Amino acid sequence: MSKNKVQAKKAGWIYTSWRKFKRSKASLAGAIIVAIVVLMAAFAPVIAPKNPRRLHFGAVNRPPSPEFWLGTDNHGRDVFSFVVWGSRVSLLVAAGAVLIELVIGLVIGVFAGYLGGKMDNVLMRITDLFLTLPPIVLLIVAVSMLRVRSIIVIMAIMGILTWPWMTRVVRSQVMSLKELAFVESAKSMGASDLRVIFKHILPNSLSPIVVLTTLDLAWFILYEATLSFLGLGDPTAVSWGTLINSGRLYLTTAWWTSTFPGLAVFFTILGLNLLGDGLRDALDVKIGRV
Amino acid sequence: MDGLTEVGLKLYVVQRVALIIPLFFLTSLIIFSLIHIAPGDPVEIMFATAGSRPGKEVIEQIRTSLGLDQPIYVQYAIWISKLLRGDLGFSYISRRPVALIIGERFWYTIELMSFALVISLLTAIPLGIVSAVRKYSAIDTAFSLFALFGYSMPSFWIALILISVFSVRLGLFPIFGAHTIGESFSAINYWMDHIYHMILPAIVISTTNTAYFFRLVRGSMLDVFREDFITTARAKGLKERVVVYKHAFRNTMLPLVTFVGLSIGFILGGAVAIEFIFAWPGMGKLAVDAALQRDYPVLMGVSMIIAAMVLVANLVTDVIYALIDPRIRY
Repeated sequence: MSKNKVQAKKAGWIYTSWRKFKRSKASLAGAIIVAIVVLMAAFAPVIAPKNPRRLHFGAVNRPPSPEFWLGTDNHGRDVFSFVVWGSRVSLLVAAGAVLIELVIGLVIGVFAGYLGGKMDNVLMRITDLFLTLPPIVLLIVAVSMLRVRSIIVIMAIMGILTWPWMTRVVRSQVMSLKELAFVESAKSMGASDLRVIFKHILPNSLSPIVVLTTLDLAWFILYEATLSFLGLGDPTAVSWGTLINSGRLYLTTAWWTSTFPGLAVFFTILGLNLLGDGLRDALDVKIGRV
Repeated sequence: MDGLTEVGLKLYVVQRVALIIPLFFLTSLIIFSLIHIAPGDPVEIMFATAGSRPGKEVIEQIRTSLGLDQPIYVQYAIWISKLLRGDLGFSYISRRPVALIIGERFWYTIELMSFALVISLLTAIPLGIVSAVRKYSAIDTAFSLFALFGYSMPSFWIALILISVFSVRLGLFPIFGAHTIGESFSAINYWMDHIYHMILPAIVISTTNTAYFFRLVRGSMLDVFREDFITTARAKGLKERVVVYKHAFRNTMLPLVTFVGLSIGFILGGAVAIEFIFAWPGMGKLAVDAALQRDYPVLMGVSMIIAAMVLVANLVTDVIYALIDPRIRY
């Protein structure tokens, strides 16, 4: 019976959050934009059958036309195909980086928050340090030292360098939850630490983690685009930043080359920000970063 | 402020300054190890960029002379002790002292950042107040929408659009650089020309921050409006203008100061790509160029300076916070 009660309570929580979320037009718009980008990535071969890497030698810097819907760049690449296929790299890098950030952030955050004491102090000073340097500067330093700049490597670096963001949120959640009565009572009934963490603390820390994950996806998409724009990304990847950079010197003659991939980055980030803000309001979360 | 609290504040500042030293050392350790776990030998990279390849003995000799044959902790000790004497080593590419190169670039970045920060504050504060006062009006919705766009647009892309519209098509602003080359100006015109070059990049850098500052001002104004003392002030019959500016806005200064201080790092980070696009001769462009050429001493030097700037900005923020927050008394 008690199990049913818990489930009813859980469903109620999801239900009220969903109702709050649904009521806000902005967050729905965000969810729709994100869904569109995800679908674009999933069905890229159907939407844009042209190979985005193919160089159309006879058609360099062509304006938008029935053949090339969004024109071609200075190498004769089809901008439309590149924009559609570019969503795959963007989403993949961002999702991978968030996953790595989550794993490291959760492990260290739970560890520091649950155990507290000296260990917590040391771990928190280390996160302070990582938060001192602007992430893009850290990324540039880390990326510059590599011979191989594949998207997997860039994804890993982004995840590894940003774990302090997640760690802080997880830690503060764990710290506040572990003092609460239901956790205390679980402990007094002889539940092991692992059980307390996985059964009681983590499920109740989900909201801020979900919100932060959504907003961090936006940051990672921005950072990946920035790196490839600066020529520090994966040179072989079909990345929006690469195309924006290749159109940089043709702003007067071929404005479409930079404009459309830029719009793609903009809409994806906009969607994730709207979604993140909506989730924050619906789940009633307070996160330090504005 | 009486004598006792003044002593307390001084003590706080001293403690806070002292904390910076270990932070700085540990930051240097992160940057040092980030670069030194790199695969590939710096000397080989040095010659690869120079285009020539000397024999094995010569490479060994250079390795020894640069101290690269020492264990890594010895290398770190040598590097940090040199750093403390202001010696940041030599660039692999230009062979000039890194400290000298950074010295040439430092003020360009400071100027550009300060300019951008002033633009952000001058726009965000009034717009945020107006939005908060007219909550949910058409004007509030419009401003909030602009803010949302502002922090969702990649700033390097905004830069390209502004360049193509204002510089290329309309010819209103210079496309790149910090000075008009090949012209001699009088002192005043030299500065006017310099500021003229700064306008577009500063606007671009300020966009994202204006959006964030706006959200913060609006949000905290709305929080303050809900407080009892505002109701009291209104009930006393004070003019709405007095309530907004004297009572409400003063209370939003606190979160604003903290937030501006903490965003110095983000502004510096954002400036990297923008300096690169506008060929602004600051530290951001230097960092990107150094990264593209794998000029590690320069990259390490720039990162250290940026880290130091962020640490100092955080320190100043904390001290200002202690000074203006009536609740904190030491």
